Amino acid sequence: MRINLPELIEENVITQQVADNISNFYSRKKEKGVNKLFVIFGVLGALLVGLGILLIIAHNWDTLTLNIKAILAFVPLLVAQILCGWLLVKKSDSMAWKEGAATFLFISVGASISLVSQIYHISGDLSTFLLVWMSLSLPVIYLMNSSFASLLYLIGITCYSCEAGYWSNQIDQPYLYWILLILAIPYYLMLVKRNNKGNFVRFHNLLIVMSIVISLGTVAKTNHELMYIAYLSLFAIFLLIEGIPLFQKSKDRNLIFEIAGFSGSMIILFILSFSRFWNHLAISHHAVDQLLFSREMIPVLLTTLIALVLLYKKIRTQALSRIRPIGLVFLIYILIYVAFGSMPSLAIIFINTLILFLGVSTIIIGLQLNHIGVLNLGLLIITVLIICRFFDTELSFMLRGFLFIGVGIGFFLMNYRMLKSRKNEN
Amino acid sequence: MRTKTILIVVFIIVSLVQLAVPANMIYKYQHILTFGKEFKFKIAPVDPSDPFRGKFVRLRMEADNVRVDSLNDWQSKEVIYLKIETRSDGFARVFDFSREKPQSGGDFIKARVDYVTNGTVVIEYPFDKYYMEESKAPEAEKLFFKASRDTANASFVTVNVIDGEAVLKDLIIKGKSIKDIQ
Repeated sequence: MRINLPELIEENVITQQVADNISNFYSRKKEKGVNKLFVIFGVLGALLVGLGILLIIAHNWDTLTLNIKAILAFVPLLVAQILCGWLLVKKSDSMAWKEGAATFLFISVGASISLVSQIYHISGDLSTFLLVWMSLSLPVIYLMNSSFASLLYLIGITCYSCEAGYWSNQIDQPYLYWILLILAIPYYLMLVKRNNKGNFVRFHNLLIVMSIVISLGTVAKTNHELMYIAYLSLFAIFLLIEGIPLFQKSKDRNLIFEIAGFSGSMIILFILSFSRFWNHLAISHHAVDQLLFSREMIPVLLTTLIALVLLYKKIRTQALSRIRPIGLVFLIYILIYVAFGSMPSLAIIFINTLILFLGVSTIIIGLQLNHIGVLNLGLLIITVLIICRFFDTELSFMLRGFLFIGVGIGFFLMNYRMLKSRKNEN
Repeated sequence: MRTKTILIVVFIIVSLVQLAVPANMIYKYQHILTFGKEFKFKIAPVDPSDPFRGKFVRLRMEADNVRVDSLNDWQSKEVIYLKIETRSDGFARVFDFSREKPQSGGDFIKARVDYVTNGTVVIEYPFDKYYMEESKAPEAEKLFFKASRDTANASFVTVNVIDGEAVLKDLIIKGKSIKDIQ
């Protein structure tokens, strides 16, 4: 909308005071936009300068003696520390400077350690290097109040958990990842409290969700089947997180949790809808005490307990009938697992029925809300279920063909009906 | 004002810890290079398709495997201690290895099991890369290829060892340090 303020004043639509307020409002908004750009360029600049210095020193000048090379390894770290120290003493409020300097310091900590390793030809252990780097960089987030350093930290600890837990075939599990993650949470909560609609919060949500989903699997060792409960409970936590007062304010911000929770739960359910998993479980059914005292039980208990607390909170404020079925999937699965773990055929029937129910209920919610996206999501769930069943059932091509035609017509009719009713409403 | 002072004091402490980590590494490696016992490890011919990655030479020691009675006991990536001695030809040899750090005298190196195959445990040495100036890499690469085919003139690395920790000192090709290649 284009507003010509002088014209509006002339025509007596608004007073001079209102016109001043409007122009002040827009100039403040513009200033915020410029500040954001400064932060982006500050961080990008710091990243490039840091990496540039690192590359120059990493050239490994053979003309220099070992001692001089070792001293040079400290240069980026010292420069970054002096810059950050100066900003702290000056008590600079410039977000761009703080973010930029903190990013530079973050990179420099890792750079100086890897440069020393290179100078002395030490191959080293990537997971130990990442662990030391992240531990030394954690205080930078809080001291410099830097969101970008916090994002880099989340990426770093995730790389550490992957390297130690998946890639390097290490014998020790990266338990320290969870401690490192917990240590970063207070900053995240502070950020959410301070600015719950900012982009930094969105990026944090995304990285925290991805980091936890990726790293949870590192706990698995021998009793992999228990991890399905842990993952379903984790996704239930994402779906129920709006029960925490801090997260109630912004629906838009919780979208990443919502998407991760819903799609994660559905993917796990689809994996469990195949007979392979249950047949394997029936053959290798472990003794109960072995499962109870396994290390996979720790994440199972923790995630399920948190999900139950959040569910309880939700039930206290809302009627049970208003809670979406997807939020209860973790509980239903635990029941199926405990009751029918040794009866594959029954368990498969229950899981498939559950998916069908979720698909139908999503369609109903979509119709009630008059939301075309939710409606199609429900139809998509049913379609994927049918496609999955094509793999492990011996239905004739004729029947498969009719099923597909049926679902296709369903898609068309449902969408047509909704669009038509919308048109009529208009 | 008080918060600012506390913040600055904490920042100084954090900065000192950040500096202490690389400083401690330098002290440790310099100590090993100065006071450690020197060993020569013969280098095995390298895989011609992949000897150089950027600006370091990937090294494979000739003595990189040890025969064992039971393969099941050893897991990939687990930490092992290699007991080493110098043979009559002047080169180092691994004569035993264990999970526990050797308590009695004798020299040893902390390493990892790379993988286990055909009755042997293949060792992952802590010194398997030699970093060098990137401009010298192509010339060094040619020389390294030639030397790895020449059995009369063995290529080797010199390594200093103290209490299980090893630091690579030099890479010698045809009796000449790779640093002197122009």
